[in-house]
Amino acid sequence: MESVTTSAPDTATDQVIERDEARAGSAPENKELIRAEQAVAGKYIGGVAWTPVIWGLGNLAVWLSLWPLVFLDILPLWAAFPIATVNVAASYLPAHEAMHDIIARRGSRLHWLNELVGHLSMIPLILPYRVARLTHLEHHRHTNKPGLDPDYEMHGSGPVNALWRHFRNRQPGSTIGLRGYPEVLKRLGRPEVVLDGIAYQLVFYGILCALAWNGFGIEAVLLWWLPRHIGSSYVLFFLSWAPHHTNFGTGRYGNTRAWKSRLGNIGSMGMQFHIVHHLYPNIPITRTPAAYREMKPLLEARGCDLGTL
Amino acid sequence: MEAAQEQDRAIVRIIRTGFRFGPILFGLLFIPPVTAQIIAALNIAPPFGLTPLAAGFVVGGVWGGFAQISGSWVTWRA
Repeated sequence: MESVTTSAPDTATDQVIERDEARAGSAPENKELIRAEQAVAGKYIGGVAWTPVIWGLGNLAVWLSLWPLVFLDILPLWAAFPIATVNVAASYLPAHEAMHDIIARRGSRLHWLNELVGHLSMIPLILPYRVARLTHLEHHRHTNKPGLDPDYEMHGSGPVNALWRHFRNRQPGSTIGLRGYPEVLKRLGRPEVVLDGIAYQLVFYGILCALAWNGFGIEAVLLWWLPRHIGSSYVLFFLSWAPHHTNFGTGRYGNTRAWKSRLGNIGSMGMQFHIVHHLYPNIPITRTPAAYREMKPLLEARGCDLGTL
Repeated sequence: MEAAQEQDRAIVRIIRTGFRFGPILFGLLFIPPVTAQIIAALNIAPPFGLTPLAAGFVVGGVWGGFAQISGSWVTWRA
């Protein structure tokens, strides 16, 4: 779907590469490895990524269409509920692509489309794009560092423990996890972005209450409130916990991993190849499997945790 | 200018207060009508001759109050 170009990476990518070279150390074998790695990555970076555009806007359209379909008794609520849950869970990744300017580079003619997808895609999830972007980029800068990585509190001893921690982090008295994001934004010098979150919450709960008092409370619960809880747990499980839970390192090659999910690549939201994403965040998610396969011998030479993938 | 700033501060105070009382507001504004609609859909009679909406207020008030005090909807401590 993406129009792949293999031209020289742009300035932003050059900066990433310079940073990577600095981090990789000055040993000749390290430089050789990272240049080989960059040569592979360069093949997959660039062009306009259309898949997240169609995915993000199409997914939102499907979710929005569920409301009139249910209200008009065209679609039963029991059938709409699982669709809405999938919609909410699927709403994050297109925006995630936008956070890394993958859909269209900053300064390019179509960058407005990148931002549009970022803002619209996560409406079902009630996660403002600016909040998600700033905190996610901070996660990349400080992966697995306590007090600095906004997703650090998702660490758990196992899948059940991680889900339980996420559930507790969402409780009203919690100040960590997603509820710790306002403090992260203040630390980043962007306290005004907290207002995005407040506005989203006000509108969300306002709509829920309006629906409930107009006789559509069960619809509000099953099309939005409950799917949002399930969907956000799914997203955090596969994006924050699963790729990092055995890798508490903070180094470039040790802060995440490749792993084989029982739910497959789609079921695990493409996160089996998360190591490629952390090494080269500009590679579109649809190209990370191919990039991983080509990069695998280099990652093995680095001693990365690649599981059985 | 000063009046506008004072107005902004008042709005922020109202919003902050609203969020501080989020659990009890959720318990009294969302849970009662939803509970009443669930009771009606299941065709069950609330105890003590309560109407479905009154039963919803009891459930939402108690549960929201618990969450307000404890900081959690399900455990005693956040």
